[in-house]
Amino acid sequence: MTDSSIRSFAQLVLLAAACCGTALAQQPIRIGASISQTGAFATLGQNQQRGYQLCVKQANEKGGVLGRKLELIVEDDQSQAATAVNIYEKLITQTKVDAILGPYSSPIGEDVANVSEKHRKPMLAPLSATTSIFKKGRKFVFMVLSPAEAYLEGLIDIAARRGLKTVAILSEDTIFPRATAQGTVELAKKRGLQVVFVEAYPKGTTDFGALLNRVRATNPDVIAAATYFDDAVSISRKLKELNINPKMFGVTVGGDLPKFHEALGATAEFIYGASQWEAELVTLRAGGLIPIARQYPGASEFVESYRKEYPGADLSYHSAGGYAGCQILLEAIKRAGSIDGEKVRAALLKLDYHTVFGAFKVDPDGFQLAHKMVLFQWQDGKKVIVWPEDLAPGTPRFPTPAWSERR
Amino acid sequence: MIEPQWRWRPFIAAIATVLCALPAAAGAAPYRIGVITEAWAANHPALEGLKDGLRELGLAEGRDVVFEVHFTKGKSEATAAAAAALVKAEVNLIFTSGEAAVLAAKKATARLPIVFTLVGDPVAVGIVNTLAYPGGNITGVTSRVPELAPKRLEILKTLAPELRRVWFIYYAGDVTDTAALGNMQDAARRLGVEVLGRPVNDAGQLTQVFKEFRRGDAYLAPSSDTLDIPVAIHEAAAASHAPTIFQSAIWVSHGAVVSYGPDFRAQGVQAARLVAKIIRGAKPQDVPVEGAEHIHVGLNLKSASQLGLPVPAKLLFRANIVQR
Repeated sequence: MTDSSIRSFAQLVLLAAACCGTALAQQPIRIGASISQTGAFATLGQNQQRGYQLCVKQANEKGGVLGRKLELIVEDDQSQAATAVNIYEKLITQTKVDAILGPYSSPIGEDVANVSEKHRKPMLAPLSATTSIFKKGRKFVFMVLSPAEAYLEGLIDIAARRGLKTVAILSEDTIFPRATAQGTVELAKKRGLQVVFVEAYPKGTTDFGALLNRVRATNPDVIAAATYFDDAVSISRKLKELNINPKMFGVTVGGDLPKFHEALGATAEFIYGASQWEAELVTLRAGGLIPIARQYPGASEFVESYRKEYPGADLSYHSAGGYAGCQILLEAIKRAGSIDGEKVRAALLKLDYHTVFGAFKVDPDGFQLAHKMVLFQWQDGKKVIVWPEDLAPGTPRFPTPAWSERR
Repeated sequence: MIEPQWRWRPFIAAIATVLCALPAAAGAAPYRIGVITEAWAANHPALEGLKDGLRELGLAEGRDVVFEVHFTKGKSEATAAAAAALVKAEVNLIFTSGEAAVLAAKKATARLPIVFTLVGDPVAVGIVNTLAYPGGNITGVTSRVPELAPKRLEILKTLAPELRRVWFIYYAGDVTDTAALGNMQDAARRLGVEVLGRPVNDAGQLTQVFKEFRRGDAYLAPSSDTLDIPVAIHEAAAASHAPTIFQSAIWVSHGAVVSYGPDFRAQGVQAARLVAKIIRGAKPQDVPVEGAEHIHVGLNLKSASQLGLPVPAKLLFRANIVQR
């Protein structure tokens, strides 16, 4: 081979490598997830999916990540954990996605976390709030929500500040509400409140008469109920029917939905509820003075573009949480400069980051430390944020008047 | 740390017994307090402090006192309408926060008692004759802004020793902030910094002023919320990584690096004592104006680290409110 032919061959090889490199660079980063598009979790799962979709769309509009576009691959797990497990196995081993995002709910997240762990793929689990998922020694699952145990922190804080002394705590006897109840017991003890009643009721309970009569016998200042939607409504109705008059009554999941007030009407008034995020947060000012939007950067643009992209669709914390989970993943990939699972995991552990959903910072187990819950109270048919105190535009209507004294 | 309002407990408990003769507690209609602040929502810390203070004095919201709250969202001109509405509604007393609010209340009524907070120099503003003998229908708690301004500058310089230029941007109509600028000049010479005072009248001027800012400069935030200037400075400081000192520690809780001045909430708690005296029958003219008692140094160590400012030990030692 002559010098010139060697040079030509080398140039050809370089050209081929460059072409090949360009082709590789142009391949999208593929992100896989299963979502409950049908089944029991469909409504909230779809909210989460819209969050994922909007995040990917907007990231692509800004040129993608690491110079590559993003592709979101979502499959329906029908609200079944076993189906979700199969989907993630397939996405990772057959479709060979570059990254994954978590499914909806704690029960499904719990099982899927085994898959991400096995394949060492970091997984943001933006709609799983059960602490135990993140405290089993797993290294590849990351929390976005505030944990179940913190849901009623605001209720207990207000009660303690207002000099209340006793609290009764009820919960559905399933993993998530039980964790909330346990957390509330600890919070109450820390704040010097006496826990006079703790009981879990079976899933599907519809008649709360006997249980609430036992609660009445302890005459608590506060009733804290770790609920889902149906039991939150039934317990509220029964408190009225039995004329039980705590100075504060709070629920957790379900109490934040508009249909809670629709179902209960005036009975919902004065009831406290916990929320991970509200669209209203972006307009609030601490002490009426300092805009807090900085703690939720981009949230008002998120709300605006979500409403534009999905006209009439439900916008809840599940939507914002999904969007935030995707934001965090992309930020970690950027900081890692790579889609390599180990490197992305290391970047996630170092992140101290604010998303549209609020703060993200995790401990070495991937357990969320920085995000804050809010507590609202139904006042005149509206959810008014009443805690944390410095952010709250409204003040609690306190104490809750007796049923007989309500107008 | 003990929250400022709880430090009052022993004293409050002592005078609470005296308040048993309050008319409202005897089953009469609740005493009606009209409120004017320049905030963007009803939860101004001074008002929250007032409510807490009254509660500690045995005056429960709803039962003994009720509040009619007007907040004017940084628009000083809107305070006049708020004051007129409260006078028309015949509230029993007007509680204000900030200079524009108390001036509007004074203009609207010479009859109803007015209790102010967050006014830097009430004599200079012309709302009382003297602090000891206010005269007229007005008394309150002064935030001592001009008096504390030199110290505020000194604390900023302690945190950022390389500092040469400090921007003091304030609403041109605010007497207190104008006086604060004058008071800072001696300290500025001593500290080797130049204070660039910029009075602004509207949002357009405010935007222009920020364009003059140079890397290495710092801000000293004004006391008045008119035109939303403190928030504009908060945002500009974050964008340009500029050291900024605010008047109250509430800002430090939300990212500002340092503050020096009276706690807003504590001023409300303090004012509750004056309000209670008036409810009890005292005349505002006989109730001396009080200086804010809780002067705090607030520090945000995370923000300091982001700005690359090592916090001197002497400043950390002085700080009563530290965000980590």
